[in-house]
Amino acid sequence: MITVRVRTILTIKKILGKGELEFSISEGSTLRDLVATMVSRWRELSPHLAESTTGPIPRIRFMINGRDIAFLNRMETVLRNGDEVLILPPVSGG
Amino acid sequence: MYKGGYTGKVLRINLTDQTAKEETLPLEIAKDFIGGAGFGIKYLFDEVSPKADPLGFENKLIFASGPFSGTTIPCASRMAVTAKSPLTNAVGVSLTGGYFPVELKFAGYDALIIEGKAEKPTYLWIKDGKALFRSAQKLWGMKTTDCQQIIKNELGDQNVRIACIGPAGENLSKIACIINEMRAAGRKGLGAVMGSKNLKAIAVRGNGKISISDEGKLKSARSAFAEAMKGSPVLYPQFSKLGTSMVVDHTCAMGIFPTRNFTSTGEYAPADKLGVEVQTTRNVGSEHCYMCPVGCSQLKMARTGVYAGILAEGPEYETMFSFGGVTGVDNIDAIIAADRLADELGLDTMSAGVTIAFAMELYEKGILSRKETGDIDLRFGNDEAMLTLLRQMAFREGFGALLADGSKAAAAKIGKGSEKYAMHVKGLELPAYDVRGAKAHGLNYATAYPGADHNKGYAFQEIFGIPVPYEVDRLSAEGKGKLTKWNQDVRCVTCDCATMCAFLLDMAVPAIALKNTADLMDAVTGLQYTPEEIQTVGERTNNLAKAFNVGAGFTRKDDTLPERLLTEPLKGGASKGHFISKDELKKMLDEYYTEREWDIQTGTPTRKKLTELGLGYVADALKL
Repeated sequence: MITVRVRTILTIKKILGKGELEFSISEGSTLRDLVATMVSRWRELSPHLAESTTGPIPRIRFMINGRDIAFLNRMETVLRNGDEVLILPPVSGG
Repeated sequence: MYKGGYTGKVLRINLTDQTAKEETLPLEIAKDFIGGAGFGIKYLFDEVSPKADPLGFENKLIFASGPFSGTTIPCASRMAVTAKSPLTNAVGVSLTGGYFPVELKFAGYDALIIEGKAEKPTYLWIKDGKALFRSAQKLWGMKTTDCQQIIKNELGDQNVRIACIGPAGENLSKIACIINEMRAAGRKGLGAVMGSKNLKAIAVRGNGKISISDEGKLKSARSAFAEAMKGSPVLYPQFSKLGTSMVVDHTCAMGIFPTRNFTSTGEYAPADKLGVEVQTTRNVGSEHCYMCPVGCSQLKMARTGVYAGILAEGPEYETMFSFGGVTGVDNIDAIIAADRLADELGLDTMSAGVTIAFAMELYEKGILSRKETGDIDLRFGNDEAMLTLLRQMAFREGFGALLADGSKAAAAKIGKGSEKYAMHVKGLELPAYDVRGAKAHGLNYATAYPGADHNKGYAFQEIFGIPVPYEVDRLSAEGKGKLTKWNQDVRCVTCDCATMCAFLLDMAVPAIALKNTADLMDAVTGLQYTPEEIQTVGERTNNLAKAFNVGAGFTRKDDTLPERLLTEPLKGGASKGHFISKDELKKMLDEYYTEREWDIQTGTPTRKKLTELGLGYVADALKL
């Protein structure tokens, strides 16, 4: 098993009840596996964590250790012990 | 000549002669520059020497909205104010919203050009094609809310819209702003330009209507626009309720919310003190600009201590950064109070806060003593000190007098190696993103014509993950020259020239902005452009602004970033370890100049590029 830390804000933080949580997941798990684990525990997360299918503004943004997953292996990125997964709901302005 | 959108008239005010002259807006200017910043930069280049003293007689102030302002197109009540900036000595363009922009259109004008200098404090009264010069003797010294109210009372019309300066502009602080309602043409010290002309305020009232070339086409274009707004996952669901405050949480999470003069970004990320959860406890209402269905401006009231009861329109994200993040102040009520005070005094909240933060770092390091600060304890986080300094800066009193002209000027006077702690580019203080974690955003700070202005080339791809025109790795320096050119040209034309709200570009129409602008131009004005031709308007405007700056003496060496961002990796947070190395900056600049077809050695636009953009006369003027 490995441990990863999830950090998040705003709508996602509200659903989870806090902005930082640790998850124990199987070694070799991908980001997709982690999201499935989270959704199975908090069903209301499901629409928020679904990948965008319409429009140019992403509905959710994932970073692993500060790096956008588009520059890793997207949802198939394999997580490692100690990774920090940042989940960012859509934000703009400023 | 004009089928719609434009009034076709420019009002030229000579404060020396006390004359007001109506001129026709040349169709070629409308076609080539569309409006707003395009008009401002065109008139500035053509009529003001780049060597002019920004606070001297020769400088001019140009107020210009765009062809959509005053129509039923939403989110188009915006105006660009342009002059040679006293803060930077470069082109200064500052945008504002609210109601003043459309009122000037209703009064009959696409643009207002202010030249000369009044003998005594004066305000302008422009109503339906007539302009009067009125004494502002009793207004001089007034804060901006009082000034606006007294003028309304004097004119017997509470619906007059007013743009004015506060004591900061009167005292020629180079970080003075222009306030209209509770909005600001905040940056670049344009309030000091007004002050240098003894112009306290401009009051406007108009009953005109803006014609539309083709109502059928407008209905179709507006409908596409409205669909994009409704389809945004952030515009109505989040932004209309929270405004820009949610960006604090976002950039703290990304490790790029600057704190303590950019010394602790990522390490100290005070979302719990300054973010949405705290800010919403102070919300008492919201404000809309003219014809805006979003209403993102949040009215906030301070609740505790000596600040209780103070109301502000904001603070917006940039002000949460400048009075909260970089100063280390974590008292939300103090920040609300500082925001209101800066607006009343007519100070740019961004430059004021970052300049105070600079002084705080010097104090923390022992470079400034308590004796030198006039017994003000300038440790990070001291909210009382921050508010005291704002008053002193506006009135050039005490230690604040040293800070009244921004961080670059203060560093030059203080010496002692303080220059490396002044966080500015070309004299314009940095905005609310630590670009060590967003490299195209940083390249824009380095190359944008007014200095470090995030709104001239915002890298929303890096900050918000929007994959338009493509996905971007914020932590890589590759391809950032090309991206920055695109960001600068698209934002320039769709937001600053067409004077549409930039939040729409970021949240609703990033993928269709150029086509959307072309369709709206066709519908409203009858002028037809392809999306590529629309983008060319932005490129033309940016090139003309750069040409002015070249004439003012700016070269490649001025396209840079503060030393801290080029040598100190971020110490904590999600962007830990990252910075922009000097080698990376060099490569990004080389790529940027290549994309722009400018001279790589000097950063100067080439004759070939200028001619291609219809600016051959500019190449002649620069002797290229």
